[in-house]
Amino acid sequence: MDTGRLSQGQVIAAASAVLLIISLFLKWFGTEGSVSISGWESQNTLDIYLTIVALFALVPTVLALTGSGAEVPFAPAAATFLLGAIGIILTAYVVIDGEGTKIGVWLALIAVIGVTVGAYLAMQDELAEEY
Amino acid sequence: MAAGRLSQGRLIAGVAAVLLFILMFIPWFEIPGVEAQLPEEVTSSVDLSGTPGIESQSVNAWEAENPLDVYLLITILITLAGVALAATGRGGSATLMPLSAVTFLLGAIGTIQVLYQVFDVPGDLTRKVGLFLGLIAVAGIAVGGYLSMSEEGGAGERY
Repeated sequence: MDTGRLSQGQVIAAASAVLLIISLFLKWFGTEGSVSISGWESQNTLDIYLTIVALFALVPTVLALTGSGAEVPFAPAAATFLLGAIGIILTAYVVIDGEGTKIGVWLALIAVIGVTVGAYLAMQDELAEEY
Repeated sequence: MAAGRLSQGRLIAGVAAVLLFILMFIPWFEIPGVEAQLPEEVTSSVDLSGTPGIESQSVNAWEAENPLDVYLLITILITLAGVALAATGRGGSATLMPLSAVTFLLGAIGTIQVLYQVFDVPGDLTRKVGLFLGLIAVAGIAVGGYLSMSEEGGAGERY
């Protein structure tokens, strides 16, 4: 495994994706005297969505590390950037709309911003290589 | 705007997007009231109508406390933007991702999320017809996006 194959953007996106997965296991909501719930336990579909975003960030990294030239119908960095940007909107919506937010949901917001920024940088690298 | 310029895939995705938007206003879930659990002698002797929580209440996609409505709205807008661009012949020439692939991607992820809601209903809510019709409509966007991608062969209009 050669980490030198990874661009700065891919490293940022992948590290943020790992952080994003971890954040889903932390406490997202809870008020004094009530049971706190994690990202997985909160009854909305954001956990599924953020998992998909994290996978989109991790797959290009794994492909780059293994040197696999696997064909995808669209550029992975562009797809990750798009999904990350939507993820920021959805997570921010949950932060604003939720009551008794805890560290996990804030960490998820930071992580999904990291994924998006990393994907944007990786996209720029791909464009530079193309032209 | 010429509908004749639209491919079959784009047409399917566009129609599904409009349908999904409409379907988001019809009931997706029902919050059960306590009336059904009360003894008949209570409900027949006391007028409980208008009391909060007594009667069942329908909830549409916008009212459900879930960011899924925001996601579906973004998917609808991007799908319709693609249809509008194709219909006016202003597809543009982006370099990274075909718009049909974006439509397929968002539609497919939307399908997964709505399907998840079908199987994992929040709390003690019950499913209503809007949820199932919404699932079909968002799957229609994914299918339309996929057909568009196939028709363009990955080298056509770019996002």
